[in-house]
Order: sequence, then C-alpha cells, then structure tokens
Amino acid sequence: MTSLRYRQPVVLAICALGLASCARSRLVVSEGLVRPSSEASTLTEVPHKRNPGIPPDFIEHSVSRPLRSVIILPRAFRDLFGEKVEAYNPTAEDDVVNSSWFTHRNVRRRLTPAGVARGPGDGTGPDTSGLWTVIGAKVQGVTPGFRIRDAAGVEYLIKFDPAGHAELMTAAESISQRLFHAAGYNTAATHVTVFDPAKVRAAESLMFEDERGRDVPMTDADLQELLRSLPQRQDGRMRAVASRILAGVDIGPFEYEGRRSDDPADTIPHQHRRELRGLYVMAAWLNHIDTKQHNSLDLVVDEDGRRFVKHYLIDFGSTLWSSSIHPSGPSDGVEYQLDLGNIAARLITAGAYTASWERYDYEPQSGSLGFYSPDLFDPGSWRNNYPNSAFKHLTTRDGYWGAKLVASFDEEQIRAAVATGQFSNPETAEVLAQAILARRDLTVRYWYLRVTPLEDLAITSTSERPALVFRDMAVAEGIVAAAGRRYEVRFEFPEAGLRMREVLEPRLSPDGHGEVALPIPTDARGNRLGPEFWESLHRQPLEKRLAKLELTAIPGPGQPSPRSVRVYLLPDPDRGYRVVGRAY
Amino acid sequence: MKPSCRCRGRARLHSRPSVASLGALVLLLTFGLPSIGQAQEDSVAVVERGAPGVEGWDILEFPFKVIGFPLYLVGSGLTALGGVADRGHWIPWLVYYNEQLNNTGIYPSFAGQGPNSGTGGTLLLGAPPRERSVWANVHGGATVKQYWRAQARIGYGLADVEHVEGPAFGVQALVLTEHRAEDEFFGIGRDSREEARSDFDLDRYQVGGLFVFIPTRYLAFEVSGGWERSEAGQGNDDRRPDVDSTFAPLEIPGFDVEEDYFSIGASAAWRVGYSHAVERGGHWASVGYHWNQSDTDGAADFGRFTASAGIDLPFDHRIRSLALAIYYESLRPNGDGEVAFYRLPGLGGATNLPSYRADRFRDRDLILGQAEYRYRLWDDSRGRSALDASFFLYGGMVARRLSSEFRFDRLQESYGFALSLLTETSRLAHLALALGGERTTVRLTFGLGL
Repeated sequence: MTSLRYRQPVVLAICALGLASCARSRLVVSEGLVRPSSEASTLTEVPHKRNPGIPPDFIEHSVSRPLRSVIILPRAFRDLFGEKVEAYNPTAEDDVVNSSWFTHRNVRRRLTPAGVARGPGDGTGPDTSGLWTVIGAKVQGVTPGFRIRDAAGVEYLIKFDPAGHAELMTAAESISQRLFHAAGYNTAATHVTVFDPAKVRAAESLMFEDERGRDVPMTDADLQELLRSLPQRQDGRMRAVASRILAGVDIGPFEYEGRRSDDPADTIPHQHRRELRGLYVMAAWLNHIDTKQHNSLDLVVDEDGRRFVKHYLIDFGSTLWSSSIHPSGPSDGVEYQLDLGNIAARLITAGAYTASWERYDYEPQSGSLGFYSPDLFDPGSWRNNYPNSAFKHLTTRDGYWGAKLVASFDEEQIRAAVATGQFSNPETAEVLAQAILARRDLTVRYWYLRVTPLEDLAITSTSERPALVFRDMAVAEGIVAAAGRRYEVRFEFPEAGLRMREVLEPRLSPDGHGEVALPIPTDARGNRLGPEFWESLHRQPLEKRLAKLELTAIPGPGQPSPRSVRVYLLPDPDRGYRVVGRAY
Repeated sequence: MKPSCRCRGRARLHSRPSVASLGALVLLLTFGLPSIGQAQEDSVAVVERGAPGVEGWDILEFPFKVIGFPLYLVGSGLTALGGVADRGHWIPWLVYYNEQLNNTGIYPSFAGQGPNSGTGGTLLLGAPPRERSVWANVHGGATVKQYWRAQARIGYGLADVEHVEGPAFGVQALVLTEHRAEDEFFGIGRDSREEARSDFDLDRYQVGGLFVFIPTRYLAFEVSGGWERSEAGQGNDDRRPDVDSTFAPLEIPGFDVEEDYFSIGASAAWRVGYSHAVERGGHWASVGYHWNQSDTDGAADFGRFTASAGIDLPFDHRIRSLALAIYYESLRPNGDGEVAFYRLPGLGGATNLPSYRADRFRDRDLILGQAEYRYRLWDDSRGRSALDASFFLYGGMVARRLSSEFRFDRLQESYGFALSLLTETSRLAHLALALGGERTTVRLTFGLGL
C-alpha cells in the first residue's frame, strides 16, 4: 500500500508530462467572415517610446534566462521533447492575413526582378549631385553613421563599410533588405551610394551623442576629419549604404516577446505571431544573425485614413557574409555568441562534443568576403547572435510557412537583388549569388521534407466521386520524384460513418499536381444518400458536420518523417465537399 | 497596409451559438431568406492554432519556479545590472578614464594570486616598455596582505619579444624595493610539515640592469647584473607561539639576518607563441645561470641554474591541445656559509602545485613537470578572447640533490580541473579546483600578477 501511495503521484506526474507534451494546438471552427480586429481601429494616443539597452537584452537572453531555466526541470523536458504551442494567428489556409507586420508580396504574386531590385522605395537613392547636410551623427562603435539630408531634402541614414573590408556591409545591407521586403516584411528603402565627401556639410549646431552619452557639438572640420578616417575609394569618393528615413512617429523597437500594452491593435503575443516565428527561416537563409529587437522599429503611421503602429525590420548589415563591423566567420549562424548549452556540453564531455564549425577548416578571408557558405548551414538549427523569443517558439508549421517565402524567390530575382550590392568584382557577386541559391535550396528542402507540403488544395467533383486536387511542392521543387510518391491517407466523416485509411500512390505530374478521390456518404447499396441525410446533417453543430482528410507523405530512405497535412472539409450535397481549412 | 487580425467573437472552440449565428437566425426568421444560411457557410473557416491560457506546463513548472527563485533573482539582477551599466555608460566611461590616465602616463591594473600575495592593485606611472624607443616608469603594487613593491625603471626597447623582428636590443636599469609581510615558511626539504610553519617578514632592496639582444624573432639573449640587500625578520606566529621552536636552527637559515649580494648572469630563451593564449601551439625553452656573491658574514656564495621548456600541442582542428612543461632549478652554494631559506627554490602555489600552499617546499634543487589537457569551451569568433577548460596533472619535488634523490614515487602531485579566460597573449583569469596535496583547494588567479 505504501509503495502504491508514492507511486500514484509519480504516475500522475508522468501522465501529466505526457499530456502536456502533446500537440499544442486547438481547433477553432469559425462561422462568418474573419475580419482583422484592428482594421477599423485607429490609435487615439501615441504609444510610449521604448528604448531598451543592448547589453541588458544580451544578458537577459544569453545568461539570465538560461540560468533561470536550469532549475525548472519541466521546462528543460519541454524544450527537449515537448511539442511547442502553435502560432496564434494562422488562417484557415495556414497562412497569415496582411497586416501591419507583414504583406504578402512575392509569395502571392511573383515580383519582376526589377521589382525585387527596386525594393520598398522608388528605386533611387540619395541625390549625390548636390550638398548633403549632416543633421545627426553616431560616432560610437566601430563604424560611424550619419543622418543626412540630401539636396532634394530627403533624409537618409548613412553607414559605412568597416576598414579593410570594402563593400562588405554595404552590399549585404542592400541585398538583404530587398529580399526581406520582397518576402513581405516592412523595411526601409536602402541603396548603395557613392558620394563626394567634399560635398558633405555639418548642419548648424549639429550635436551628436558620443559613446559616453554626452551631447557634443560637431563642426564641419570635425566632420571632415571623421570622414577622412573612413575607407575611401581611389577616386576620393566614398561608398556607403543609405537607408531612407521612414515616415512616422518613432516609438522604438518591438520586442519579440509579449505585446505592446499601449497599442490596442497589438493583441497577439509577438512570440506567437507566425510572421515573427517564420522570420527565422528567412533569417537563416540570409544569415541575418543580428535579429535582436534593436534591429526592429515601430512607427506610428497614418495610412489609408487610419493611424496605427507599423512594424519594420531595420539594419541588415549583419547578413550574408557580413557581421557588420567585420566579416562573418564559420561560427556565425551555427552557434549563439554565448551559447551556454554548447558550453555545458563541451564542459561535461571534456571537449568531445564539438559544434560543426569547430572542425571546419576555414581561412579567414580579406576584402569584401566573409564566411557565407552552404557547407555548415543547417536550416533547422541555424542560430542568430543570441536567443530570440519568437524563434524559440518556432514550430514545423511556422518553418514551412517561412520556407514558402524563401521558395518564392527564383534565380533571376536573387541575381537582381545581388546586383544592387554593386560589387566592383563580378566574381564576388557570382560567388554570393551561388551561395544564396544553394542555401535557398537547402532551406526549402529541409522544411518541405518535414511536412506534407500540399498546396493549391481544391475539390473537383465528377459524377462518380469528389476528389481533392493538390500540388505537392516537394515534387514541384524537385526535392522528391513524382514517380513513387506515396501518401498515407486518413479520412473521417463521423456523421456519415465514413472512415478510410490507406496508402495511395496517386499519379503526379512533374510539377506536383495530383488528386486523391474521396469517399462520399452512401447507403448500404452504394447509392448516394438523399436530402434527408443532408437536412439532418445541417441540423448538427458545425464542427460535427466536418470531415477531416489527413495526408502524410511517406518519406523516402533517409528522409525525416513529415507532419501530415490536415484538410478540413465541409460536406456539400452538390460538390461533395468544400475545403474550409488546413494545417501542416 | 492592413493591420493585424484576429477572429473576433465569432471564433470559438465549441458549437455554442455565436452572436453571428444568432443574428443570422433572426434574419432568417424575419425575412425568410433561405440564402442567408448558405452565405454563412461560405465563410466557414477551420483553423488549428495555439491559444493562450493556463496550460499543464505552467502548473508543473510552478513548484520548480518557487525553488529556483533565488536563481531567478540572480538572473534578473544580472540583467538589471546590465541595464544600469548600459544606461550609465559605465564601460565607455571606464574606458575613457583609463585612456585619459594612460595619456598622462598612469596605467592602473587589478590582479591577484595565491595566499602569499593576495589581491591587490598595481599602478604604473610613466611609459611602459616600448620597442626601439626610450622609456621610463615607476611601477608599484600592494595587496590586502600587506605585501607591497615599488620599482623604478628606465630603458630602451624590451617590448614583447614575440613581436620584435631582430636584430634588436634592449637595456634596462632598475631600482626595486619590496616588503613581504607574514610570508610563510614551512621548513627545508620534502619532509617538512604543513602545520609546522612560521610567519616572517622580508624586505628587499635591489639595483640592477640588464641587456637583451634579439638576433632574430623568437630568440633572445639576456645578460643581467645587480646588487641586492635583504632583511628577514624574526620568525614568529602570534597564533601559534610555539611553532618557531619546531624548527631546528639549521632548518631556518635566514631568519633575522641582513645580507648583501652581488649577482651577474646570462640566459637564452626561445619562444614562439604563448603558453596560455587564444591561439594554441606556443612552445618555448630557456636556460640561464646566475652567480651570486656575498660579503656578508655567514652568507654563502651560490650559483643558480634554471632551465625550462614547454609546448602546447594542438590537435583536433586546434580545438584541443596537450600542454607539457618542465622546469628545473638548482642552487649550488660555493664553500661554507648559509643560503637564506627564501633564496631556495620554492615549490607550491597557484602556478605550480595549486593543491599546496605557496612555497610549501624549499630546497636546493627543484623539478616540476606539468601536463594539461586543454579544450575550448567558447571563443568570441574573432580570436580576441576564449574560455578554456583543462584537466591538469602536475608533479614536482625538491631535494638537496635531485640527481641522487629523485624518484617518481616521491613526487608531490596536484591534479584537478581548471577554467581559463584567455586573451590573445595571456591568461586573464584562472579558476582551478586542485586535489592531491595536503588540501583540496579552489584557486582563482586573475589579472597581471604582482
């Protein structure tokens, strides 16, 4: 008896852990139109400006949180084995709606290569023919930056390459900004620009905040001296990257966790936003290692007759093979800057555990080349500089969503974006384009093999039986062959007593199109059920009327077991069924 | 741009009538329009999504959170401290003031090692040694254990040999004074007892000079000479008043003695890289001999021979290394007289046998072998700093004549585990857990030693 008394809580605890680690999503059945809640709302009060420091943010995510989690054993268990909570804001298509965070661009309608290269602005950078007036300056850090007003009165933020690495950061910023924008994120128009330092003047009473937090005046002479300390081209001109100052009231960066309490439209915790979780995949593709909150920006804008907070990603200087102030190395993107987990693993195993980059033979590059290679790239375990709350909540569904953004870019578009980096050596541009393409393919392959990537779902109905038509994106991308592609199909229509479970090998076209026939309610003799059945069905609650089709691709040798795609069907007496929802 | 969205009101987990469907029902009953129901079904959506609320994990984690609250406080405190430091621009201000001090010729530093020196600070006034230029400085340091030292130097050259392309040379003249308070003496020889120890004070005054010639990079020859006066106090220990009587007079040569020595010597050193640094693979060897002559009654003339060699053998893509080092020192008196105990080679302490007290063993000959398996835990990816862990095994012994008394089973050993914070050229901090001696110790050494 005694042993039983102690055993019960243990068994209960194990059961609780098991239950807790089950799928963390709920089925939401919605009738009526799904409207963005904040579509009609307008801000009445400007939210307060956030100004978080970088060091405390780094310490919080790299040291304090890991320290805290050490003792919370269930969390460690959950991180290792538990399935994560799914994003709060997917639609019935397992997508997101266009919002102040994200707008579908290339993934919905292919942009022209020129459209990708144009980016968010009008395709032109600052006017270099006239005088630039410096109206703000940042001199702390390794590379200074300026806020300038060009001859046309347009304001830009100007940043420079680190000494000894011409084109490194400026090209990365220009290329990545365009790709993130084309994917759907809000970014500032950014251009590589070449200007004459003699045409730069300090504004009257120009002040700048030095690294000790003091406001210090800057004269023309100070400015010219500062410019002379920066890398110059042989013709005496200077290369920089110019980001157009965004219109709106700056209220600081957004955090990747929680909500902005004073923004009524900000209803979903950011770590549970699909757009921010899926950003991981884009960031991994382009090695955007500096995805900290400080590289985001919230602006109060007036658009479409409404005032609201618009969320931007800014500063893409630490992408591709740049770490902004120096070339990136093999560990960038593979391990956090301070990865307590890896440190502990090395410590405990006496150095037997090593990360992939540690055994990678790499000679540090000079000039505008850093390390950006597919060699060490694992799209599922890529790491930014330090933990990002939204990325930590990434699920396979989010990853697949992000991978669709990446897959939407073709070679022509990527080359168009790379061309905006204005590399002086065409070989450099070619090497980078090839690396981006290779990482694109690895990214798409990784995520497309982890789900059953069926898209373009629709029902076709013949006189015989309705069928679900689809496009298998893994086939379309050439990741798996059309021939021999098989699926485990489960179909459930409880109200009609229909259940089906079988392995099918539908005929797929080379671009992935195929179909699966669906059973329909019939009587004992196989005749279609009449109006009585449909009338009685219609009297049932909505979720009881639903049928569910679950398709799971059967993986090939050496491939991971993918998640199924669950297709929710609303039975229809005329068409058989109608697709009303799906999840991967 | 459309704003963020959520399903308002109409979204539900179960099939209870929603406001929308009730409204639709009212419309249907009022106007009898059969198309309404169909219109509603056209917009049916089924979504699998996460949802907020108390979850099983929150309940499970709660007791652990209570237990881990102190750790939570530590973490939060670190973050808060980081925030305060960031807002106050602490680091930039510290760097700024340090630079300002350096510009005026003042170089402060903070360091500590072992129980004999304790933790303290140093101050260098003037210019540090510089390659191919004249420099002069005054360097002083003091610790919380009442040890202090001050020296004035003037010289030419003598920058880090590692980075000097030969041929080059350096000269230096030095004046030094040093006071050691409550240093500990355990007796002469290997069979002394830790409990039988005595405190003593020691004052030293030194004037000297040296000449360094670097024919080629990594290789240096040095010739040095000087005069020294030392005054050792009467040994006593207030806490153990009888302890001094445990030493026979012959075992405590040097107590309560003032003596003068002249010395001259030469050494040669080969060094590539560093023994402790981010970049592995350093190796070094040196040999030297110094003759010391005294005109003090009872003080013996003696020669001191030193030799050392070491290598850091990296393997596995330089992630790990095996570091081996050996050190030998021999003091040979010439004729009658005594050599004060504090001039004898000493074994024990943070840098050689960390599980023993500093200078725990003293005798005329000393040998020390060190082996470390080092592996990297972290680096900053730019080669500027790194954290190494190591398992170490050190063994050494002192003897009157090593050639006749050396046996492996007589070695004093220290072994354990250590963490080292490394820079490009040195070891900034070292935390060692050492076992195998008379005590298990945890030793932290940091900064530039005094």
